[in-house]
Amino acid sequence: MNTFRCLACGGTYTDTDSAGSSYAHACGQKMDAQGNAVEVDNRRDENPVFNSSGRLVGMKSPGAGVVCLNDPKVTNPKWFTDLQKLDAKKDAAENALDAPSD
Amino acid sequence: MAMVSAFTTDAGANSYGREIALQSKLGISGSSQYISPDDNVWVMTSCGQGGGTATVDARLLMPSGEVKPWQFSFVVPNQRIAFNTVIPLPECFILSIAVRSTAVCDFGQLYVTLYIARYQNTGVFLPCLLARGYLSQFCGLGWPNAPQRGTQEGRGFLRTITGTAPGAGVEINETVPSGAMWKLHSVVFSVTASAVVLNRYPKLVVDNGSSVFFFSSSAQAITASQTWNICYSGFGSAIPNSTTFNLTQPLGAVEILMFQGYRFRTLFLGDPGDQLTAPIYNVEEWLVPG
Repeated sequence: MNTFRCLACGGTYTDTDSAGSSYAHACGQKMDAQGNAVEVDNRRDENPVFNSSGRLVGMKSPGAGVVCLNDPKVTNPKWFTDLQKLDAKKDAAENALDAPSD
Repeated sequence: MAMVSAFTTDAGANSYGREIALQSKLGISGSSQYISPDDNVWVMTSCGQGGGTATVDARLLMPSGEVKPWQFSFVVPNQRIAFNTVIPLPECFILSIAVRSTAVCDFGQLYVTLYIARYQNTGVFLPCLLARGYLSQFCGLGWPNAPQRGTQEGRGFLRTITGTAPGAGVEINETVPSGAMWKLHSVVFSVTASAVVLNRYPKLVVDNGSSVFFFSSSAQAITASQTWNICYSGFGSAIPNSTTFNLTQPLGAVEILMFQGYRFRTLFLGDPGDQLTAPIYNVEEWLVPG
């Protein structure tokens, strides 16, 4: 479980709850000088986007990025990194199938 | 209406000759689930928690007449996506087959569908649905004689979630993750108003990502430098307690069902110095893998 600070909205959150379920952060709105609710600049939405073949396209919006507060080397929630690894495995499997055989 | 028949050729089959029909020892067929050398067991899974491990056990009646136990385990990723595992079987009859979770996983967070499948040059055929439902360590499913349950049938998995603690002046915004459906039960958070003199009227909004279809608004004004605890639930009275600074707001007597991408959010801060705490909310969750 890692704790992150969003560089767009300043919010803090953990990527996994105590039961092991994953959590995807999405920035909230803020009030502008006129009192209107507006999106924060470069807003982040970590929910994954898939294409029609079920392949990972990416996050809805990586936004300004995050800082992991307990491990500076971590750049994304673990569940998202796992999703990218899984997609890479699918790529490898499909490439193996496409490779010409003797 | 004209009847249209579609025949699928066995052109994709590449098996060696069948043995089952040649074995007089079997007498009658062992079960209705004959597996040819071209058939596979296809397991579709979706997991919302911790990356589950599923194990498939079966008893197979082999061409020789021998009954063999058979087992296959695999890890399921936890991103609430549809994950397919294809398990080849030898030519046999399936006498029984069961699937169970062999890792700690709460009931409602690992969904499995078990098919018999065959690859053809025209695509994948799933001619027999053996079993489907949620798994836990103590609740398996299988064929024959196990009930089948759709992803959204029955009670969902109860989750208590601590959301994002917003930055100063930023509203709460919580989104239903991809591959999930929620029923929202309650939301609790606190707000501390800045010293700027303003009336802030608490408001919770639920939308489908764009269109608002529910909101709950309070006539209670939160004034400068006050801290209020706010709870939205089905039992809210909407009568603020100005002594303890507690406000309970009705969330609606009817169920608020939220699909992936739907969100609930606050919409009432008036000053960049206003500070909300992380919302703690209770939802029932069903897996809806895409």
